[in-house]
Amino acid sequence: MSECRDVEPLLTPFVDDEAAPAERATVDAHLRSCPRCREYVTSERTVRQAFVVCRASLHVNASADLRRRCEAQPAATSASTVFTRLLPRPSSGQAWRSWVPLSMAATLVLAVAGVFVYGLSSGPQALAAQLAADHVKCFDFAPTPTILPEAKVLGREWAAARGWALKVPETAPVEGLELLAVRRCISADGTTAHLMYRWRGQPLSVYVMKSHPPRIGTSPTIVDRLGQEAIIWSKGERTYAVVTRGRPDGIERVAQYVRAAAE
Amino acid sequence: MSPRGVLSTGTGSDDRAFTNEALSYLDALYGTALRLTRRPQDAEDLVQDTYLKAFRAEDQFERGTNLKAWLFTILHNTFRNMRRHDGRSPIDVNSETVEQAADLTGDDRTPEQLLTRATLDRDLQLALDALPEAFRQAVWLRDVEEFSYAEIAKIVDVPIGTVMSRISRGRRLLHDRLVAPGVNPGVNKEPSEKARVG
Repeated sequence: MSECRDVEPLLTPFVDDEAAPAERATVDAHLRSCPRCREYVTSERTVRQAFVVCRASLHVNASADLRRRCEAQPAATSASTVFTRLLPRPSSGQAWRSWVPLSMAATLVLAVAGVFVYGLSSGPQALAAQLAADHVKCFDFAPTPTILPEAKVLGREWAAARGWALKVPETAPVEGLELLAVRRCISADGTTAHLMYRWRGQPLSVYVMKSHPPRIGTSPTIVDRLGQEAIIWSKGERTYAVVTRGRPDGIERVAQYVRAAAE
Repeated sequence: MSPRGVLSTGTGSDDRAFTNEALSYLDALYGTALRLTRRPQDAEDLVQDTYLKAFRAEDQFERGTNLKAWLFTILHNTFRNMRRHDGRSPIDVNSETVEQAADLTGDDRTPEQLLTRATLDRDLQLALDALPEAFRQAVWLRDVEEFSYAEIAKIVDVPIGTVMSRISRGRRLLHDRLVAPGVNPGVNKEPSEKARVG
């Protein structure tokens, strides 16, 4: 059996035609006298051939939406777009799409600024800086659905995929609020839900954090950070935040609606 | 596109070539992400994160090396970080997959019988999903994405010897499951990566 142990590390390279000629000769010689190792080689070779036979069916195609989002990223990260996109924008009459693309690089600027200006400490101000950066970044890839999704469906999908319940506020025409999508926030710790809305033609984010960061009170706190306004509060084990650009009139009212529907 | 994902040397004007070639691996990255996460939404998040990091770090990519392997390395690193931050324990096998895998009906004893089995596609996918993660990754990267041992070692950050061992063990577990379903209950556990010959 000691000879089997000597040969054993060579069997997989042998199957893959990656063994050196001398190693190959050693394995060949051993296999002639060892039915057990022959069986190992046969089983590995059979599975390898099975993958060749099934390769086409194992390949999957990414969705058109994912492709679009990934294709949008090089442009968003291009340094040449940073300065033009950081230029002041008109404060009124902005179309939805015209607001969208602050660049990824701009996001980095915001995130770094958040760290330097507000430190790494927890609390509403640090959290607001982090969420402001994420809000800008995620709306680079904002979906533009022709049919608005159903909040309950997105909530169920989230619960099934993430393992915790999420109440998603519905589209509310009276408030001028339209639900676009629910995504996992990739900038935070990976467990935060990012509910993306269009509010009076502007991007509006609702964040729902599974855990309860320290020093977040139950009363809504309004924090202006990095050109974005965040209204943050906690309830039970969850922490919530509504983030918009600037300080638009009526934000408190829509935050109230979100609070009533999300908690 | 250059073979095996190797970009030619150059700067500046190669940005578009870098982008185009990187995006040409979208389906491969998504397929691998799906095998890792087993949830389409997680897989999409993972791939989007991967491209985000790749395009940010384009300057760090060494021209003339394998872009596909570089992207897969980012994908696996991102997956590890994602899972570390995820509140849930990793899915190794969901109960449905185990049930389906247990129902595999193959009793083919010869390679020829197995390879011509009508349900081979389905059976192989189920058996693959039932493999422990380390073996599934290694076998997938080798037998589907056709990376070299050295490339896989770099992607998953383990020694080459470990890669070969995982490929070997993974294939044998798959073979056991395909040929004699139900006799290998250990497929859902993390078998030892150590000695396979006795």
